[in-house]
Parts: sequence; structure tokens; C-alpha cells
Amino acid sequence: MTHRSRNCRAAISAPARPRPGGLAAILLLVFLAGFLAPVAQGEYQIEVIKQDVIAIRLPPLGGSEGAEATRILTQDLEQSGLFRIVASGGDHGIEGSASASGCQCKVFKSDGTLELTASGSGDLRRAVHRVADEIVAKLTGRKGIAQTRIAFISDKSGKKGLYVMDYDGAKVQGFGTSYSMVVAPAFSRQGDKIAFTAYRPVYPDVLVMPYPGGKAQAVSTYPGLNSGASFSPDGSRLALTLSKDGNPEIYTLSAGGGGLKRLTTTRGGESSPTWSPDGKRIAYASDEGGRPQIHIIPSSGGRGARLTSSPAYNTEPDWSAESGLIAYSSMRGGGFVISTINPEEEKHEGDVVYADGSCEDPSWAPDGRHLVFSRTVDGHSDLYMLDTYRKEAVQLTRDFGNCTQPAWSGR
Amino acid sequence: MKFVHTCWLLSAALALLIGGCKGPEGEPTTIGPGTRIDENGEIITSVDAGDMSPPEDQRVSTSGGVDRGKFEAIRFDYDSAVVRQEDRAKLEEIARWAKENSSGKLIIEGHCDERGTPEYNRALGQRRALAARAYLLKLGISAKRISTVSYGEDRPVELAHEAEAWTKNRRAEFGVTQ
Repeated sequence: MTHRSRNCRAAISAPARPRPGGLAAILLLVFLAGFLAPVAQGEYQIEVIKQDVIAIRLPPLGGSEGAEATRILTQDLEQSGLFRIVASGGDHGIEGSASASGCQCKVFKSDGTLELTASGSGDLRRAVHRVADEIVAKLTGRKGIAQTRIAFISDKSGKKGLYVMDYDGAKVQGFGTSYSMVVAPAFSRQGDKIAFTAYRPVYPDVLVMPYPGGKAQAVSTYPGLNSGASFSPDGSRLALTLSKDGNPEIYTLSAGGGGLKRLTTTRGGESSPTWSPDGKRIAYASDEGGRPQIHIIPSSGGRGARLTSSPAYNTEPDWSAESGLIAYSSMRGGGFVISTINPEEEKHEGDVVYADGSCEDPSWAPDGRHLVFSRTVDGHSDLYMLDTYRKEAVQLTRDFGNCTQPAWSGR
Repeated sequence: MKFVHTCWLLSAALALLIGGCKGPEGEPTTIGPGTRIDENGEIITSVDAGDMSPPEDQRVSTSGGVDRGKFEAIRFDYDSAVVRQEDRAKLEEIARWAKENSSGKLIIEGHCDERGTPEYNRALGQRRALAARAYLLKLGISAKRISTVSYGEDRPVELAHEAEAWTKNRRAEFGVTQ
């Protein structure tokens, strides 16, 4: 069976949504005007959005750390999907230097006029990521993702634990080692809090931890299941699954605990809630109608409505605050593919965006373009970052146990 | 497709089985904040909703250890939380023990095979534990003596990635707290 993806329409429409980028965003559309080409992934034909990108020269940066900084900056700019590094010519050129104390760069137009000065201090990787995001912001009007983080679960220590890494897989840091098991992390959109499920030691509770550090506070410790928390856009509330009233249902509560509100009342099981960009709706997986499908319910209460109806098993929705698309895990032939759907369209089946290996639990980057998910091959799981326009995935974790349940930070 | 089978039959049976333990239908409820102290002596915000709309589920203390070897696990069909006919005798044996040991408390652990996704499976494992619990309640065991927990697909008994292992991993285990 050949599946013809229709994701071109949804993905192209994403940059056209109004946003504070203003004129710069409109100018970017000129750059992004492109064409489509299908690539094959297993039995699927997946549309790639070919687009013109900004050609930029990046001769090796000077200074004691110039070589490493050049490598990091090249990767940041290329993985943004917005730039192409060229050896000569190009629309812009970068000059600069890097040392153990930071990185400074100047960007020139092709006629030699200075366009911007960008700098970062402290840790070299973080300093270069900052420079990359400044270049992305100035030349494209968009916010880059080079300074974002990804929380995830790894069983490297012999039990599942919480870790956070930079968006490129570097600088992995572990948290919460005192719990018998940690699962289902979620970053706040502001990037200042992480919610997670911890078995302490037997029963699963939901805790909220300040990021980058601080004492975790238990916010949901009801009998039965407490899991799958997701922050509202302003970070003030959590949506999660509780079974305290006799069946796993979706509830919301204050991110500091209390103020509990029940949303769903079904005979099935509900899981993986995720908030709409404006916080007025919550998407979740429910098997109320038999097999699990993506549903949407008003966050203030009301009736849940089914969004997807095909194929037979769709779970783990993640709603992009930037593009408005919902990414989710979709079972095909015993494994999973990553699909996206625009909930504002009259559609009941999403578009496959990645189908190589079995992939689960997608989480959007704040740019609304990149996804991180776990990919399992021969029983081993690692995290991959996908550019949903180019349909190219890069491996983020290696030799770090099984890595699953990634959650991208906000800005 | 082996996954596509009698969903409606299963959900109808499930509705019958767990219908008795569902909370009241209707408007969502709001419950105020509070505190309690957990088994490690930590103060925990967010109350147990017990005194507002009595939840029948409990969290029995496991600080004295849990004996998981006393009773046989029950198994479940793929993506199902319905107690199978052939497992009823195992639950009846547990109920007999509970009646003869009136101070004994049980923890029911729901588990899944690896084929679903993690959080859906955590909910499914919880439903399996709740289904086993509902059957024990029907046999006259007090809800106050039973707690439930779901490990989803995180604690398989068989690590192989094939059908025989999946059959063994779709289960509910019964622990006796000491």
C-alpha cells in the first residue's frame, strides 16, 4: 500500500500564520517559497518541502576554540533549516573568534556592510548556541532553537530516570535519582519548570521541579494513577491523568497543587493531555470508542470530541504552540510512525511525517518545525530530532541506555 | 490484522465490569488544596479527595514490604482490561484468603506488553488493576484493603520482543503487604 501524504499544505501554511515577526516573517516567506518532492520511507511516500534557504559563508573562526566553535555554529545554522553554509559567494558572511570564555561574531552582507554583531560568554557550546540564535533572529525574524533543552527518560542507571540535554544532544544532566522510577516529563513553555511522574517508591505521583535546579514538589498524590502531566501555556496549570474516581480520566490542577478540576467522564482510559496554543482546549488520547484516538475537550470543561478516526491506534498527542499542528504516535503494521494533523481542518487522519523504524512520543520544538521523538530499532530506543519540512532526522542520543519520552523546552 | 478484533464486545463487557466502581457522572468538581504526610514523612501538598467525594481506591502502606509470591498473576487479552473467565478462580482464591485474613491488605499491580505507547499503557495497566479490584469488591472484599498501581510497559516479566513474552507481560499481579 502506498500512502500519499498531504502534509505539504499543513506544513506550508505554518509560516503564514501571523506572528510578531511581522515584516521579517513575510520576507522569510520569499526565501521559503519552494517546491515539493516525495521521499520513500518504507511503504510511505512522504512529501519534502524543498525551499530556498539563506546562503551564508562561514570561514573558520579564529581564537583558541575557533575550530570547535565553527563546528557548533555550522551545525546550529544548518539544523535550523533556514541556512546553507557555502564556501564562497552567498548572501552573508560570518567572521569571528572563540575562546574558553566565549564567542564573538560579526555578520556582513555580500556588499561588505556590517549587519549584526553577536556574542555569547561562558561555556563555549552555550555561547555559540546564543550566537546562532541571534543570527537566526536577525536574518530570518524567527526565534532559533539552539538554546532550547530536551527533557527525557533513560534507563542508563538501571532504572528509568529523568535527564535534560541541550537540543543537539550535548550536556546531558541527570535529576531525581532518589526515586525508584521516573517517567513522562514535561517542560513548561517558559522553560522554568519540569513536571514528571515519580514512583516513590511504589505509587506514581506527579511532581514539579524548578529548572535548572531546585527542590521538586509533589502536586498530585491521589490514590491510583497520577501521570502524564502537561503545562498550560502560561505555566500556571497542569493537565494530567488521574484514576482516583475509578477510571483513568483527564483532570487539570494548579501547577503548585490543588484546584483540581475533572474534564473527562468516559468508560475508556484517557492519557497524554496537551494544551492548545491559547490554552482553551486540551487534546488527549482516549479509547472510549474502542481503540485509542486523539480527542479534544475545552480546558474549562465540556464535551470531548474525537479528532482522529484512522488508523486504529493513535496516541501521545503534542500540540505545537507555534504552528497549531498536533503531532502524535500512529500505529502502522505493529510499529509506530510519527504523524501530524491540523485540528482546524475537517480531517480525521493525519499525515505521516516520519516512518523509518518504530517512532513514538513526538514533542514539538518551540519553532513549530522540529520534532523530537524516540525511535526503537531491535528493541533499543534512542532520541531523534526531525526537521518536519525536510523530513531529515538526526540521532541525538547514543550509548546512553534506552532513551524515551522526550519533552522539548519552550523558549 | 490481528489487532483488529471485537472492540465493541470488549468495551461493552468492560463497561459492565467496571461500571460499578466509577465515580458519579456529571459536572467536573473542584477540590481545594491541603496537605498530608506520606510514608517517608514528607509533607505533601494537594489533598486526597477522600472527604469530598469518597474515592474507593486506597494507597495501602508498603513500607513493611510486599510479598508478591503468594498469588498467581492474571492475564489479559491485547489492549483489553477485561478479567478473563479462566482467571476468575484465581481471584476467588484471593478473596477466600482475604476473608480468612481480615487484617491482610492487597496491592494490585497492572502491567502491559511493550507494543502500545508508554502513557496509554500506563492508563491501560491501571484499568487492568482496577478491573481485578472490581471483581474482588464484587466478591465482598472491602475497598479499604486494596490499592492499585500501574507500571504500564515498564516492568515486563519477559524481555523478549515476541508474542509469548507479550502474553505473559499483559497481567495483573497481587502483592500482600506485610
